[in-house]
Amino acid sequence: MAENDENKLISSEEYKKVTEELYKQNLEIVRLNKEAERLNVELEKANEGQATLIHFINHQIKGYFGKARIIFSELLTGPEYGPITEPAKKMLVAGETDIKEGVDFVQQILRASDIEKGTFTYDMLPLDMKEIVSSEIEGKKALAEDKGLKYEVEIKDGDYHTKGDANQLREAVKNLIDNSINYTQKGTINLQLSTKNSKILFTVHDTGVGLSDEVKAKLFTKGGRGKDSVKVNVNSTGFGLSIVKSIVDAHKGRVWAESAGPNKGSTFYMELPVV
Amino acid sequence: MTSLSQLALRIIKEQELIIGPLAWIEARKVVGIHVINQNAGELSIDDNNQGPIIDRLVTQYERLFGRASVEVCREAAAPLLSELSSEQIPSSLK
Repeated sequence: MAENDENKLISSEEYKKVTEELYKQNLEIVRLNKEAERLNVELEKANEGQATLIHFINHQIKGYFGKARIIFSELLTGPEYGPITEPAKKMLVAGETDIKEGVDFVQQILRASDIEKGTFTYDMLPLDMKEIVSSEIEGKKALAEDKGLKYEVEIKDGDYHTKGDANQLREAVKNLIDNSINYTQKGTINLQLSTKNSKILFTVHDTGVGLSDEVKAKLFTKGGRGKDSVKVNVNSTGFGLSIVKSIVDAHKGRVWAESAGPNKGSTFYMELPVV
Repeated sequence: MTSLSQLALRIIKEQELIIGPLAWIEARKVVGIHVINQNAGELSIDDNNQGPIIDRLVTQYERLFGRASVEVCREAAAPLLSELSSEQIPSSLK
């Protein structure tokens, strides 16, 4: 005899019945678990195939964009095409700009994919981070000012030497500034570069859309953009900050963001070691 | 070459998925089965009358968990049975 929940004795037959029933339930769980594992393997295979296909399509699109960009550029600069009227020139310039954005967009997705697959290789060489940050800050000034934003820059004296892939670090810096400008409708973009305790710190502060806790949690993950981000930035791929994080991680650095909440602006920090 | 100790191990491991460590506790109670290292999945079974030892293992689970547990033993053993002669196959698994 055994006891049930109410401490009443139950017969061994009842006990066996309960045990057998529990066994059957466990068996069903194990079977469902095995089925879930099998489906998961199938899903992973399907995802892998899909990722390869998307990668191939993106490469093709990038190729066509590249060709179209050359055509626009030739039409604008090649004397053999004859004089171009001002309205036509405006259209061609707009077309060339759009295509350049298209190439950058596809390039970003391809880079994210390569980084995720581990097929991306960094060309690590000694460099001066001050040079990279300064040139990127200068390059984005017009974009911010055209939007009517105040563009504040403060670069402190110090040792900004590190070892890294200049092109990729440039990309990370550009991405943080671009992000800040894209997600700020009015107010200020404040950029600072400083060095302390053998760390280089690049800070991008804005008075833009800010970050909710939900967005902050997945901000640096692939596709981790906020749900309304495309309403503010139509060119958002959702890969930008995940690429930034991958680049910074590869340089043994840190990247993080702070914000008091939605519509309260944000501050992005990128920290790299002085080497 | 499949041995009956491999067969026993396969059965115990399958039962372990369902009932956890209890599968090993029950297997240890079967006369003729010697668990050498549970974590590494090592065991041996006595050389003589190996078929009846497997039958006792199946019965041990059936006594506690009923018919469903016998089916689990059979399903677990099925992939290995083709490598055994019909005389070697324990009657509980036929």
